[in-house]
Amino acid sequence: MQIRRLRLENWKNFRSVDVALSSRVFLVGPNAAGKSNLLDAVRFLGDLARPGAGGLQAAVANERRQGISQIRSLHARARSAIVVEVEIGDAETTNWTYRLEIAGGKQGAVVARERVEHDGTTMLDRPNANDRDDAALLGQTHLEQLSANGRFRPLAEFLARISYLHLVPQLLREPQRFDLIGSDPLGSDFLRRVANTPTKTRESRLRAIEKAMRVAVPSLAQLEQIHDKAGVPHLRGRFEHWRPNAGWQDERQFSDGTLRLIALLWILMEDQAPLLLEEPELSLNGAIVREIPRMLHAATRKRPRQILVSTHSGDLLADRGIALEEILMVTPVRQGSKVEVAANRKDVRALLEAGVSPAEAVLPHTEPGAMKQQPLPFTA
Amino acid sequence: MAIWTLAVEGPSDEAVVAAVLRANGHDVGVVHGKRGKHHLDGNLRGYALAAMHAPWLIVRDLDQDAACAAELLAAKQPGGHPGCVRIAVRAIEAWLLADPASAQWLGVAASLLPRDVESLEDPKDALVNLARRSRSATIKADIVPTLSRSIGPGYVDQVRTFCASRWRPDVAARRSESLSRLIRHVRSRQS
Repeated sequence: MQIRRLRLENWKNFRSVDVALSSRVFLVGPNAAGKSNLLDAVRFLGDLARPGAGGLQAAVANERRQGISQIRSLHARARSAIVVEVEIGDAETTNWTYRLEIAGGKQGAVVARERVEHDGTTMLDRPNANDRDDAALLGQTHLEQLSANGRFRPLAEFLARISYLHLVPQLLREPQRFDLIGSDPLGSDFLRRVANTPTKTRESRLRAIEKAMRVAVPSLAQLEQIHDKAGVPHLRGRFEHWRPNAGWQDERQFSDGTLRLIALLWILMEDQAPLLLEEPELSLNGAIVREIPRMLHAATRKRPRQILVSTHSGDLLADRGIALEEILMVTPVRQGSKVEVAANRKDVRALLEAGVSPAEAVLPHTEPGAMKQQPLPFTA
Repeated sequence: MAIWTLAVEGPSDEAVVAAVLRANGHDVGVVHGKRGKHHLDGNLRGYALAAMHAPWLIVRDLDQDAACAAELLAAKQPGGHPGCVRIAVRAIEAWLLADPASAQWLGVAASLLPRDVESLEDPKDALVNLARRSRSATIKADIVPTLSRSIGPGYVDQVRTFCASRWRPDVAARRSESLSRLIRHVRSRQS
């Protein structure tokens, strides 16, 4: 299953967004255009649906979002509802639609409307008679309640598995120095996750990572998971070297780039629900960044997984195997930001058809100067 | 054995040229370019001058840019070392299709391979069209472009794997004059 379409109204710096999403999405745009805010809308649905995460109130008030007034677009009319809607299905057809409209109330966020459709049939449409009898019920979505989401449990379970990743090498390496509890998106529990994986699965994933990394880090010959004398899990790799038998290193000695790549590839293979990934190019050499789109394709070929990636990297987008349908251009306009699928721009398409790479066709549109320009009328 | 410096249009071309060098006992060092042919053309003069000092190969597709390789070379006027620029007619994919082993790789009958690869108008297109008829779902998914893109998302990896394992440059050279010239040039270089 994947998210096939995303619609937003009044979400942070977007007044209105309506875009089709493919199974691999690259978000490009200048700094502060809202790439992370777009990812956050998808992450918000994951936070809502995750059991024990506190549902609507916690998802709205957490430290990233800080309440309705911070989420609602500055460009929205006062009191207008914030809307997040997704269509979910396989690559060809939509099976589920989930729409949530939220507004502010005296005691936090209030459900203004919640709608679930499955294959064209309405499974839920609130507010309903119960909500009118007891308005406090509108402080929770049905998505977050096991007792209420039985008729659309597969949808709730799918959304709950959405994960977000912004790998920080320092945290991967020394989690004990940072006070982070439970699963977190910065990668501090990565080594524990590797250690807790059943041996057979772990071995097959490590072999796949060795293979995928052959181009990026040719000297890395073998990866294995070990425990030190204190029982602390480590990941170690054997590096082929001009000196025989030299070359076992553990994650504390890996370069930042090597560690990020290993963690990224591992996490790609962990699940099949959408993965939101921030700037995977950080601390990697340009030649290796150019390999990332191919690694994403190879790692998800057997077990398809939707990946939404934010990036600034021309190297990453130089891969001609990237389709314009996979690129979302986030650009500031007078009222907030807009999101366009690159394939819908005739000028960008023309460049690609003339043999220009996706990077050269798209990135100039995201540079600060480009926004000042009046778009020229284009005649096809 | 010599370590060659390359300038190529992209990563799949690098894999093909590396396979040719390795089959003849040489290897690849620094690789320049990999940003398309326009980028390569812009730097051609510099590459050709650098080639005076060390073994270099600049490999470019002829595409439809000129009627023949000599005409294209004359138009680009690289100067510098004359032998270092090699032109694939019309694209480097022709060299892959010239080896009958490419039929097994692509999962198609050998009878479907083009007889005269040097006369193909668009060898890359020919390769992609063969992949469309493949028995293998992986080959189709990797090589055939869908949506607005010029190659499939796993195209480069497929070419790399084929070049590193099953492709035989010497066999392919029997059916491709431009590849045969490249191999003669590589062999003429004594380390």
